[in-house]
Amino acid sequence: MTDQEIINALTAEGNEYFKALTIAGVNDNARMGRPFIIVSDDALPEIPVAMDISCSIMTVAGAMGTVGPGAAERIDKATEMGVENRLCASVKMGAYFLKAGILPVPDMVITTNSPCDAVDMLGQMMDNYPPWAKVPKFRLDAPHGQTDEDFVYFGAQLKEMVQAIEKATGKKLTMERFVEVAEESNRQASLIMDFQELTRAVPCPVDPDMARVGWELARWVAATDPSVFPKATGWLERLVDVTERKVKAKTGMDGVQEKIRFLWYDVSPSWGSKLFPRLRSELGAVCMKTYYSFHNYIPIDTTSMDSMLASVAKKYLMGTPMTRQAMHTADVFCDDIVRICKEDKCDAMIMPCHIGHRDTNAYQKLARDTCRANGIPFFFLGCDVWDERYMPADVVFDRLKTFFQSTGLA
Amino acid sequence: MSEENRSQVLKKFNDYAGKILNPSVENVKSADCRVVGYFCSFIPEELFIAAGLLPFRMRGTGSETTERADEYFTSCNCSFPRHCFNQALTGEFTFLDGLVVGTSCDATRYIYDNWKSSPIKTPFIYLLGYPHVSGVAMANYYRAELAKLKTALEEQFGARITDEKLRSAITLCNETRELQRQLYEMRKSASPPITGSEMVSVMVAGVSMPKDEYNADLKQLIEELEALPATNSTYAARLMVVGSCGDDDILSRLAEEQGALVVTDHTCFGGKLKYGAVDGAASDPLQALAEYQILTRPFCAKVGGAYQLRAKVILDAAKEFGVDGVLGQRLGCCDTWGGELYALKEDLKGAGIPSLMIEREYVPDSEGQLATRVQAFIETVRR
Repeated sequence: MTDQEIINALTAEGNEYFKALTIAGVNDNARMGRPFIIVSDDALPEIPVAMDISCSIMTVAGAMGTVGPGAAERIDKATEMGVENRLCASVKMGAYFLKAGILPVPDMVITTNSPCDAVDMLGQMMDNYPPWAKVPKFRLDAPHGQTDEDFVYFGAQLKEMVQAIEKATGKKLTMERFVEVAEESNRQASLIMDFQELTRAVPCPVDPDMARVGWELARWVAATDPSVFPKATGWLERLVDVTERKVKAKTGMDGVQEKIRFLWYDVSPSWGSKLFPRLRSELGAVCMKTYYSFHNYIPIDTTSMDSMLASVAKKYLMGTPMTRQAMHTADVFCDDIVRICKEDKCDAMIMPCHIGHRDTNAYQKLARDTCRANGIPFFFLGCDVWDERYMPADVVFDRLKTFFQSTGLA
Repeated sequence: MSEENRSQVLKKFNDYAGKILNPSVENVKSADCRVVGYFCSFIPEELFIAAGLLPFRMRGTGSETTERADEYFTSCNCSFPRHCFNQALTGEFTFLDGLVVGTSCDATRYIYDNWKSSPIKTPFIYLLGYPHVSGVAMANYYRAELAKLKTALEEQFGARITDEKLRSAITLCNETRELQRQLYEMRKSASPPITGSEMVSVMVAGVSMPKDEYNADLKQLIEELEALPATNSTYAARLMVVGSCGDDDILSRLAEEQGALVVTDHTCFGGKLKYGAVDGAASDPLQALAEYQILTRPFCAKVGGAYQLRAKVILDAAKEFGVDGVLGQRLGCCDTWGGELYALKEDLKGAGIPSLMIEREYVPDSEGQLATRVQAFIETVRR
């Protein structure tokens, strides 16, 4: 296989796995025979994997519902519920799936206030959903602080959560298995960091968005099916191997004459396949990072059960995309912009400002000021990353093209 | 209360609620006392009072535009923080010696960072962590957060907040709650002596002036209202207002202009504040304050595990006050109250209580459409 064929195979493999995250996948997960939990947001996969439990994520199922045939109609139906028109469509869709009664009854429900008010609201809807009245519930309070006290506070809640899962499902979390999973998780995190480092080469060897694919495989898909967890490690190893070879050969992305590197500081849009390849091929503009392809190495400390839970807590609070950006003060948000632009040699920063993201909409001036102070050309877009009708991919392309041309980058 | 018989106290409250800076705050400032603004209602005023500070609840009263705040917040953010922040940028809050922002809803939380980076020169700005689950561990966490704030206030303002001072402040604020409850109780009668619109002023004034002065005024008002003859019994419907903010009387006024009477409410500036009491005899007053906010009164709609309590309080009040219908209000882009009102509508329906849920802006472009909807609702529930 050529390097490009390997990359294509990895992409195809990832897309196949992602079917487990759709609403159909949620129903399949419930039939796997494992205890089945529905969570409002990120599933902290180390715990369900170590306990051999299947976890489906409402916001992810909601986001997957905004793509594919009939997506616009589904978004409209979700909007018609009347919760809040400008509510993030991934959450709106999750609420719609819930209220439409098309979800299986889980063995347990876990909700959290993280990363935003919208997910907090969805979690409360799940907690108070009448058909799930008898389903055991656990709610996590993610703090906004970044101190060790905050991590210990959240870690203590994880300990209680594990006890609640054990009670609800009969499954046990053993130290031995948790250490095994934590070590594998550290290995995956390390591979993602290696990939991230390799993609900083000029020209960029592989689409940096593959970090998002790997991360979602190792976390979201593995949470739905623990057997995928080790396979995700293998997937990441193959990705790092091929990227290493391309860096050594100094070959860039297939068919791309790299001219511009930019940061897309938000979620990668569900219509991104209509935008990013076109930017690469027509303008040589490579998206170096999005929220989900930017990662920090926060290892799990396997010394003791408490240290593992506290470090899983830290990893969740400081390492989970969106939680990192939306839960903390603007210092984290703005420092990351500067760091990414410097490390990834970005020529520009694009602020998509998804309409449902209250954080980016409230931080756009701070981001702009930060970029200006650091000599980074800044562009504010104002789009909907789930509903392309709000600002079609073609329009986004044209606006970015104009911006790149006006700033002399294209 | 008719205009000619209108209480001087009520006029004072109305005046205070209708603007930001009022004579009581000016008096306090001229006496060299410092004023600290705060967002939102879960931040215990007792802590500021014990430090010899005047707590001032932040609001955007008088704002007509978000022109200057729009540089910081887009229209995809709730209009409450945008108007509050605009008022700050135009100099309406220059009297503040400090500002404490709680991690309540996202939109309010983001004021902290924007305020810090803006040209507004407030000497002390603090972000207070507030849990979003009602539970014992969360109350303990909040106690630790309050202890950090206490230290920061002591350092900034050279005050010493002793347990004794805290208990004294708790007693003062418990008295406020008790007096407010007395006032609400009077509204249960067939002929309530005060309108919903007037009550908004009463409650907003309470978080905009010194508590001892406010309590004295409240006592006088209660006496005056008790002496009034029962004349206010020809209303079209008894209504309850539920929702976020509530620092203006728009919904109550529109309903009362259509012949209805708002007899109770459950809003962030209104009836939520009078609920329960802090344990003034507790050995650890900070713990008592934390438990009150997290366990007794988890009324921020963002607090999980407490919706059933919030719904029960609302349904009980609707019953106790003989309400014919509930008006729910939330501001556009408020995800939290979007979910809260969605759930509440179903629960009210289950209890046989008609409701109208309204999305509005903090400063509506036009009241005409709101008035039409309120009028239509009153027609469906009128007596």
